[in-house]
Amino acid sequence: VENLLFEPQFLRKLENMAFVLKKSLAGRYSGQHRSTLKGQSVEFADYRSYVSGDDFRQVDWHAYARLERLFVKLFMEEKDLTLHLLVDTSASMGWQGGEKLKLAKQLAGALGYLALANSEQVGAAALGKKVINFLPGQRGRATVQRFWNFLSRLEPEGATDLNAALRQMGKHIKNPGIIILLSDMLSPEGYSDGIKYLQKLGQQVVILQILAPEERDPMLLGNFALVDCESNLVKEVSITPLLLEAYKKQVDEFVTGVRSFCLEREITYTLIDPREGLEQILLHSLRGLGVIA
Amino acid sequence: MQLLAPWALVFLVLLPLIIVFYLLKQKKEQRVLSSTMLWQRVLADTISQTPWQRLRYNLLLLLQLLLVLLLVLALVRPYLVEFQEGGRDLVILLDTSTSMGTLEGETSRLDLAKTELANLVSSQQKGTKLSLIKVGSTPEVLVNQSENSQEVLGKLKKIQPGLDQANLETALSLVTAMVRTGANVQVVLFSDGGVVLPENPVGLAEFQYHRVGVTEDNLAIGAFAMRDNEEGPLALTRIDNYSSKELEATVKVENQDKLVDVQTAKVAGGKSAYLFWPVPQSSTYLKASLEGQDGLALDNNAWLVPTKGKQAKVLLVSKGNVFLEQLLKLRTGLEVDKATPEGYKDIKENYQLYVLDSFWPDQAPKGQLLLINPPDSSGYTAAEGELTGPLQANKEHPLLTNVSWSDVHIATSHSVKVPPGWQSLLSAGNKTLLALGSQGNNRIAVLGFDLHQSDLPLRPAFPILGQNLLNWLLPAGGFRETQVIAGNPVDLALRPQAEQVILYKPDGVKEDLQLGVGRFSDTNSPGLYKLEQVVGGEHLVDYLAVNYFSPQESLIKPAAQIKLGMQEVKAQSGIKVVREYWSWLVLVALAFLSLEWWVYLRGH
Repeated sequence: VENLLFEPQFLRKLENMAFVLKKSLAGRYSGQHRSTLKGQSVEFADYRSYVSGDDFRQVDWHAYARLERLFVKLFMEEKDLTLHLLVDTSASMGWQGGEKLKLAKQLAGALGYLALANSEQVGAAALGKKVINFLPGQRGRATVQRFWNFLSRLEPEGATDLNAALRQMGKHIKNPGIIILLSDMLSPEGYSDGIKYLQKLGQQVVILQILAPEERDPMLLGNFALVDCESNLVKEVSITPLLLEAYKKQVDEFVTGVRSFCLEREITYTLIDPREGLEQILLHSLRGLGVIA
Repeated sequence: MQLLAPWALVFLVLLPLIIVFYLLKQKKEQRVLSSTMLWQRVLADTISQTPWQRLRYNLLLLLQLLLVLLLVLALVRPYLVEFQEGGRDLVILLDTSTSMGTLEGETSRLDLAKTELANLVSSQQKGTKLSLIKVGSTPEVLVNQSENSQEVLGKLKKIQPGLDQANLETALSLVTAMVRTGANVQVVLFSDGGVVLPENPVGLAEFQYHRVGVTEDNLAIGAFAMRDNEEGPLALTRIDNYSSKELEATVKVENQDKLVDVQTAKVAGGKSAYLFWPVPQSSTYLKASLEGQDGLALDNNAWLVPTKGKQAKVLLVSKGNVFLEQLLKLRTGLEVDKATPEGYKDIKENYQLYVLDSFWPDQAPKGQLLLINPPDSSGYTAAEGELTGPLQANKEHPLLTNVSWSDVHIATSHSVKVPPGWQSLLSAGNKTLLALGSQGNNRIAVLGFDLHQSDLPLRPAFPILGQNLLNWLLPAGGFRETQVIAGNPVDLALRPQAEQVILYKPDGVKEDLQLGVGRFSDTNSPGLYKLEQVVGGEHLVDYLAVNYFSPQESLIKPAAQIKLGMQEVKAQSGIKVVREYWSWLVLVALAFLSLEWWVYLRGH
């Protein structure tokens, strides 16, 4: 299998991991995401009186024989939960050699692979100011390559507006499912509205926040013209040790803000440091997802 | 605070330059970040965004600005002067009295004062009119209202300490006369306070007294004189202690440069001690000196010329001779007692000279003799009678120089005997009228005739002859006094016959004095002065002791205040002139430089 995302060694580990995983992601969440629509299924739900126009194949003839009345059997309609992997591809993710984006792509690739291997439906999207690219739900191992190709083609570009992008994403989502957002969450316009909207659509949201060490603990002292790589806005600042402390505090506050937002809204959240190995992170995020205990 | 180099203030333009450099520099370092979102929040929280305000928190900039400020401050050479205002008249009075020669450590008070004064003068602003007055016994204006400080400094260098007492009264009246009316005059006196003070108020608005020196320990020889004693003459030295504590004085006396004795005495503070010394026979001069060092060296030595200290005692025995009395009165340095021939036998005292007028006692007196008309019983004369021929004078004899005998008439006279070795000065026919000679140690002059039997006393010849005879009989010194205070003139009694007069000063300088000069006033250095008169090939040597006895100047303790009339002026010891601060500023600047370096290193 040709891929640009993974080392062959890691791929083997991924295969093993997929083999070990018994439960489906959707199964894990099926209790919460049971469809409200009743339809054709194997699982009986209820009876109701026959009205003209009903499919007579659904009529319970045994009940008619006993009661001489026409009842239609109602079954729980089981729908597949779709896993959507949303990768933030704004320019900030490509900062300093694009490590953050690479990691996001690798994580998405790995998680998507595991889901596909478990016969789940997997979709993917690249988010920037809006939805930049979208891969509709795929199913089956055969689509892994297509999925990976989609991911590896993603390039960092443009500004971030998670609110707008997530709202737009909502239009592509038809069924309830799981959404995993891989982003640095550095969205000047915010992220909460978009996430709330997705939750309203019945999506289980998981946020994997990726922040480079240089972002959390910059080695800056002196006078700088700080250029925002997305907006190209220049901010002149004399960085003193005092100011640097204030910045670090601001970073902590920002991360804590995201974390507490997630906590309030029952969103699974993990902060990812790219310095940790991919394997390690994957285990972390799987644990975060509740796939493995 | 004044600035010596205000032009250096132009370097202050460096301050805005540094700030501009900082502002320019900030645009140079660009750093691309993933997002400035968080930075914006930080900056919004902490400081506002104008570049000026941002500079506020830049420690390096702050240090650099301080550094430049300090260095510029150092360059402008700030200083403090206690008294200094431009456009004033500054009159500087410098005490040059003896006490200013007191050593304060290695330096004399005068030199200390000169240094302070030079600082004061150099620090004056342009336009200050400077006057410099040397305050001695008579004030001396060295610089009068000059704006050229170099002139003052030049004059200042040449000032030497004097041997007199400073008179502030005359100096201040001179200052009052000098200054322009309505001028803003500041008078500054540099002194140790040992000055003659004015009794009346002084019309000077601003008078300052700058005390020089602190030493007060000083021993002085306050007197060195002869005292008669039963065993013989004694020399007395009085040692004065001018300090407030007891000091030990070691005194050495030398006779003609040979050590006689050394004595020590403890002298209580402010008191005196007396030491007595035997005076060796035929001593011509003595020197007493205090051993060891004290404040003032000048008063540690004294000289004494013993024999000439007293007046010659003369006894005139006569029934009454107004001419002789007048003659003896004419001559200074004589203490004349008179007696009648009847009263002579009651006289016990010894005299240096006996003038016997028509009298001869039973026993010849021990002393020089001037015999007038002695009776034949004396053995010096014989055969009284009328003169037989004209007067013949030995005109070659020095005693008869300028004595004219042409209008002298003598009625009767004894004939004076002329033993071998005697000289006949005047004769008439075969009679000798005046003869000189000696018997043992005594000189004898014999005048054969009664003055009343002659018109000699009425002629000009009489006082001249009389003085010449007295000079011969009592060889008086060339000096009228044998001891004077330094700086005071001394009268000379030069022989009229002297062919050459040479004066040797204590420092060995030889001076040919004009013949007939009556006074010598250059006695400024204490010590022994030697006067040599050459009379007829004979060298007559006399000594003069010039001593420095001045209680006012020996009291070297600087006065804490001086009184001008009713006004008391407190001393200001030392003046804070031109205290420059640039070295301190540079030091602080260096400290800031190190701090800046450290901050810079820490930042990187």
